[in-house]
Amino acid sequence: MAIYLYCILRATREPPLNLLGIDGTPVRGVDLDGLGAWVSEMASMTVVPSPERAKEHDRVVRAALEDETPLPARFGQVVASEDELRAILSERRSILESALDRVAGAVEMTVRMLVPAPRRAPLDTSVAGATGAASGRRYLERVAAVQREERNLLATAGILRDRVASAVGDLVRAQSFAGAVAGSSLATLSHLVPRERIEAYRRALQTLREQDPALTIMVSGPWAPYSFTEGIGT
Amino acid sequence: MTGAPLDPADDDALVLSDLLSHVLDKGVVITGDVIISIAGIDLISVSLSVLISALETLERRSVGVSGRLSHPLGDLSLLHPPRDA
Repeated sequence: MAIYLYCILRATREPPLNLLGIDGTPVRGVDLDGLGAWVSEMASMTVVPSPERAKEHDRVVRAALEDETPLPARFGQVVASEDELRAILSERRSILESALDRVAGAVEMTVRMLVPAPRRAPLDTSVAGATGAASGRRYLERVAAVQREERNLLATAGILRDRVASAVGDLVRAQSFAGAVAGSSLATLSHLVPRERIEAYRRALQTLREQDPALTIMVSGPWAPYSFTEGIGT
Repeated sequence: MTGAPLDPADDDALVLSDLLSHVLDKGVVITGDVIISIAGIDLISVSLSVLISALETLERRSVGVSGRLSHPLGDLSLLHPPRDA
């Protein structure tokens, strides 16, 4: 049977009785020579993603988060056997332990920020329909305009990030930022927040929104620290 | 928290979109990337589009809304001040 990984824990711990995972499979704890993991046995090595299965995955991770902050696995991590899982995680043991220390006692809060679209410069219509050198110039002007827009978007996202970071200050232990990419107006700022500071963190963002009429943000959480697992994977 | 609650009609889609962008795109990877699309539809892109759309809708509303939703999949707050703030 294949083994589906939900999360990695600081020590072996059994999941709550009757906790079900992907496709209703029972979840069990695995002892990885000191580290723990929650897994399910699957009939296949391939797990096709779906919203329902994503919810099942996160439900298991959330159950682990209730008592202690785990390192959540990305959806779809399946290995052929428990021995293979043990070998893979054993290779990364020191990295995993460091990551578990980093997230201990904390949760992830995620801030989605709408990045205002920069004002688009009007196109030069005098060259509309032109051919040859004129159409070439028009093309280059459009490329330059798009590049300017992307730079402005990134700069605006950076300003928003700094504003939010300043508002939450030392309430957070770490942050991870995904700036707005071309064609998108969404920037994401993830914070690692000690559990006892979650309400203070929410209040700080509420205060920020009351002070800054231009800000439109969405805050979600607490999550397991999905955004703070970089450097662990393959 | 001031303002009206979140629109219940949008709650599930919004929370699910946020969940998909975490679960499918982040977390420890031990076996390489997995397929993240169904029938060629990129679930992460779709989920981010829903989130952008929700925030843009909030931005366009003439009366500002803020609200907090306690959902089995996690709490979610939309924060935007009234236009006349």
